[in-house]
Formats: sequence, structure tokens, C-alpha cells
Amino acid sequence: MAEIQFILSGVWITLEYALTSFVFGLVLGLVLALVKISGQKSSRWKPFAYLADAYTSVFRGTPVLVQLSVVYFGIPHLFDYQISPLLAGIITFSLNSGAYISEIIRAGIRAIDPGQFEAARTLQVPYFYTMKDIILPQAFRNVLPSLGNEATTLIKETALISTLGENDLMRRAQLIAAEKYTYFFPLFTAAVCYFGLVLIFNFIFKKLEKKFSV
Amino acid sequence: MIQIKNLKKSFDGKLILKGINLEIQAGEIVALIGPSGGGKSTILRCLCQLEIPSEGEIWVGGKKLDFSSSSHHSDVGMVFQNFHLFPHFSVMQNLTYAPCQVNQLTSQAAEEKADKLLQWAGLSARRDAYPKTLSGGEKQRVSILRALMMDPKVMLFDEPTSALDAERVDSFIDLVKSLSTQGMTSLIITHEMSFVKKVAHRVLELVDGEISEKQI
Repeated sequence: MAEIQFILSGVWITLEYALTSFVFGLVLGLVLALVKISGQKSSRWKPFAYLADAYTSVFRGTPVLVQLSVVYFGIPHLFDYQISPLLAGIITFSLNSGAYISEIIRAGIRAIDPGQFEAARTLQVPYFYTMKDIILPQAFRNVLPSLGNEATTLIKETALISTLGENDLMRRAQLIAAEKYTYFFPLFTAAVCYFGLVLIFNFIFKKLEKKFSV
Repeated sequence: MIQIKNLKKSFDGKLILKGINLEIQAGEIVALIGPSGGGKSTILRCLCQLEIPSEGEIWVGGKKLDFSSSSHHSDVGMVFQNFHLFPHFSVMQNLTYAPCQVNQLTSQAAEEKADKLLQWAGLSARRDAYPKTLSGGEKQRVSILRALMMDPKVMLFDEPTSALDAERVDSFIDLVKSLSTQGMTSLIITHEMSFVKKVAHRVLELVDGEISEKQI
């Protein structure tokens, strides 16, 4: 019983990583998506759009474990600063998630009927307000299922933080396994916890989809 | 009210409008007819600054349209063929959003103005409805009211009767005529000659990028 409790208390750490990284990833992804879209409309934004594309390409083209290792082990070497596993995890997962979310949001914006932009222009609504009040709310509604997928992926990916010694769900299961010389039960408990978290997130996103459907 | 001088527009090197000259007086209802692909919509899109002309000038209400800046002419209202209402806004929000955001009207003043227009168009009961629950005719009227909220002097209609049944076409005609008596200038793209005969003071035909007056 004490073992189960020990593993379960790792849920909060897993959630801390997943939720914080998702929020930062969402903000970063939104900014990157807007830069990419602006680059298609205005030549002034083109260099920034290329940078955003390159960023996305790098973070989607390399394993998360490699990215996490670069941040955790590489930064102390470069800057002579010992980064904590929490900070390294949140930075890595946010940067990685931001790359994926930027593509999700960009596709969501492109799926909006161009007539919506044109209607806003003929009503003289400035570009910033057109995006903020007319396009993004519709795009957000379109991309909610994909954002839900990204959130659940993030929950599962946080298990990698156990490689840095953080006492998350996965690491706690491994500790019990090592202590008791039994692997199936603690790891199965961790798997059930991850699955439960994913189900809860799926439920929340389904509710959000329903709430925002017009 | 509208003056178009030597308007030319080409897409990918192909000249669509070959030097249009046109003058429309205040309060006139002018129908623009012609075969598909002849450039009718392009004229409307140039008038509401969604397209930049390759050559020529457009004057509305004595002011020359400036295509070099992103600012738009406040005197031109556009009603699109597919209406393009904002689906996540209620009817009231569709009407009040731009006046509050652009003309800095208070939400109370904008709602009062919108309520008057909704009453005039017989849509008061639909003020809190969302676009997907409206019929084609209701969507069109909301779209017209949304443009009217910005106090335009010119209204542009792209194929306004294509989604309407005969009864709704008649009420649209009444609405446009009523606007005309208040001094509103209307330029209407259409294919339906019976509708043209009922509504238009003047008919222009656009064929192969050139415009000519047509007798009705």
C-alpha cells in the first residue's frame, strides 16, 4: 500500500511538468505560428518566418531525449550554470511542444475561410484585431482535437525526466522495482496512472470542443 | 458618388479589366451583369480595396482610394455572395464588433444602433442567434446590416439573390430600394435579368474586361 502511495504521489510531479510545458508550449507555438503566417503575407516578416521554420524543423527532427540531454548536460558546460532537472525538463518540453503546436495552429489558421479575413478588412478591422478576435478563436476551435493529442503526448513524454533522476511517476515505479526486485506491479501501476491522466485530459478536451463548437 | 477612371487589373499577366471608365450618381442602383470570369467581382473587389488595381483611379464620395496604405475606405460597404458572417459571434456581436473596434462607439451606443437596424429589417427576434441557425435570407440581411453599421455611402452586392427564394428576392429588392431613397448608392452583381428589371435604375454589362451600358 505504501508503495502504491509512493508511486501515486509522482502523479503531481508528472502533471507539474506536463501542464507547465503545455502552457509555455502553447504560447510559444502561437507566436511561431503567427510569425510563419505573417511571413507568407509580408516580405518584412519572411526572415523571421524562415527562422521559425528552421526552429520547428530542428525540434521535430531530433529525439526529445537528445534535446533533454543537451539542455541538462550541455548548458552547465556552456554557461557554467548547474540547471535543475525541473527547469531543464520544462525548457525542453516547452520548446519541443512549441514546435509541434506552431504547426497545429498554423494549419488551423490556414483552414479558416479567406472570406473571414476579407469581411474583416471591408469592415476596416485592423490586422491585429482580425487575428485576435475573428481568426484565432475560430482556428482555436478547429485545432482543439490536435491540441488534445499534443497534451496527451506531452504527459507520456514527461517520463523521460526520470533519466535525470527526477522523482516523477516513472522514476518512483523504477525505485520500487529496484527495492523490491519486482518489476511488473510497480511499472504496471505507473502505466495505469499515465493512462488515467491521458483519459482525464481527453475528457477535458472533449468538453472544451463541445463548449467551443458553434 | 463613384468614379472609376481607366481601371485596369491583370492576374498572372492576363488582363482582366481593360480600362474601365464608370460614373455612378448618389442614390443610384446599378446592376452589373455579364458572363462568368468577365471581371465583375474584380471591379467590386477593387472598389472595396480587396484588390489593388494594376492601373487607374477609383474615387468614392469625392475621395480617391489609396491603395498604398492598409487603411480602408469607410464609405464602402460590401455584402459577399457567401455573406461571411463571423460564425462564433451572435447576430448582435456581428453587428457591433466593427463599430466598437474601429469607430470607437461604446457598446451601448452600438447595440442601440444595431437594435434599430434589426427592427427595420424584421430581425429583432434573432439578435442573439448565431449565424448557423439563420436561414439564407436572414444571413443576407444580417450581412447587409453589418455593413450598414459602418455608415457607408456605397453598398456593393456580389450575387445577392443566388441563395434566396422568390419571396426573399422581393424583400431584398424592397430593402435596396428603401436604402436608395435614403441616398445610398448600390452596385449589384447579378445574373438574373428579372431581378435586374425590378431593382436597377441602370444596367452595365461587362464582357471580356470592357464595360458598356445595356438597355432594359
